[in-house]
Amino acid sequence: MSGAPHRPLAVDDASLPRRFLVATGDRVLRTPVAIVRGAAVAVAVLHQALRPVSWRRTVRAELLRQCLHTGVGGLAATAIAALLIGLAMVSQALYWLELAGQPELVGQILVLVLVREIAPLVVAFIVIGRTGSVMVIELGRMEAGGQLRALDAQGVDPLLYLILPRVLAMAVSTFCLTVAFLAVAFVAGNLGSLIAGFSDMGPTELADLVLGAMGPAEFALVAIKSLGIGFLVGLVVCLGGLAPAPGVLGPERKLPRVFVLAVLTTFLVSAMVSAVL
Amino acid sequence: MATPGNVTATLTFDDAVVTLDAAVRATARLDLALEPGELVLLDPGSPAHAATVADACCGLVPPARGAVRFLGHDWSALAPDAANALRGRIGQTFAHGGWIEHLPVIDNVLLQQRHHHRGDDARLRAEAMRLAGHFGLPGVPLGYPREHSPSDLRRSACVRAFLGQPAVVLLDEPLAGEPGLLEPLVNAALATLARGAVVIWMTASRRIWRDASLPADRRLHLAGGTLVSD
Repeated sequence: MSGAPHRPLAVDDASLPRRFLVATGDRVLRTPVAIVRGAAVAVAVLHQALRPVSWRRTVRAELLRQCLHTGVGGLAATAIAALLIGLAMVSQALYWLELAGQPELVGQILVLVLVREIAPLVVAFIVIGRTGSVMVIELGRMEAGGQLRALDAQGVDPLLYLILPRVLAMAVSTFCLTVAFLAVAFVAGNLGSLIAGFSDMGPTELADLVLGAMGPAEFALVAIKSLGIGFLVGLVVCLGGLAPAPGVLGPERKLPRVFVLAVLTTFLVSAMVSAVL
Repeated sequence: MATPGNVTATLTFDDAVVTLDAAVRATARLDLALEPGELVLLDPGSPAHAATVADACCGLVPPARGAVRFLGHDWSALAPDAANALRGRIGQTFAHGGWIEHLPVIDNVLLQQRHHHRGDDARLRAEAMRLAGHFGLPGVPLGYPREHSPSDLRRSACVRAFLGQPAVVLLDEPLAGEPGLLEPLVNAALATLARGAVVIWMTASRRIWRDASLPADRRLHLAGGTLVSD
């Protein structure tokens, strides 16, 4: 080609329909590109997690720090949420089913509602709000402050040192917190209904009914759903935090978008796992 | 000038064209071989150029043409793991600090060495304490970066750069606002050069440039896209 060098069309120069097309095309293309990029990072994280050489002492220390922050740090909030939901849901299930003369159904109903759906979702929201928001700000400040470049210059791969421990800690912590949530919810609900006189079903009897209603699919579902939600939410939070901040504004501006994405991811994973198992 | 295939040089810019500013298409043609025990004083022209030159030395900015070699390895031909392992042998001070805010300063200082080596932690800490004393600190600060003065952080940055006997030390305006660091820094640089490492000292300060106590083997300006000897 000859003539003047090609100059990309500036949006300001374009007509209104052209600007509309550019804006629409940009938005349409941005989503699949982001999904492909996220999938690539997810594969890279899993690949690195399986390589023994990835687990250097700095990465192990960071994983421990993140597990303490996400898992241990989130225990109190999870226990309070489980206490309130357990008192409301387990007590009511026991009360109404005893009233209807079908207390043997309590196990099936609680497994269907609490174990399969509510517990993983509530724990995910606690993890997103409590840890995810901190991670977005923390990683956003690192991106804006040039610390990522400093890590790269020292030969410390940010994927290895920042993303891998955070994503795995979120996955493991979400699973552990879900188990803790279920234990507290059942104990609190059972004790609450006994004290309030709603039911005379003891803890052993309730445990038998609940565990009897849980097949291998339910055990697998709790593990897969909570691990999957934690993993993907961790990924969304890390990628959102490390993405360049919009304009000259601070990393806090990324928070609403990442929060919404993390919540939508939670719902999507939850629905997909529930549909399959 | 770099000699193609120079195997003795620690760091070689083999007719490398590095993009300094993509927006205005500014490039620099670097042809330079740094032998073991050499100290180069470099005025890159601007802080952004200094960061780019440092990145090029570490293989983070691939040259548009030519090659950058470290210890005989062409950065662009290395696998990511191998490149990161080699970067573990480069000590660096960063103009913006490069401190990870959620780690205490001492963990920041030890991070690179702990990441790349399996050596004894106690020995590493002892070396860091010795260097901290050399740079006028009572010890490596234990608090978080935001809890310490810029002076303490600058001195700690020097500890980090010289820790673990690096093959190349990149100093990016190491004395900014801290002129009292000149003497310990020169002494640390001399000890580093004596064991065969290379020191690249980047500064725009005329005062340091003219300081006779700085035993620079070469004094170079980055001007008009090429390196010019002083």
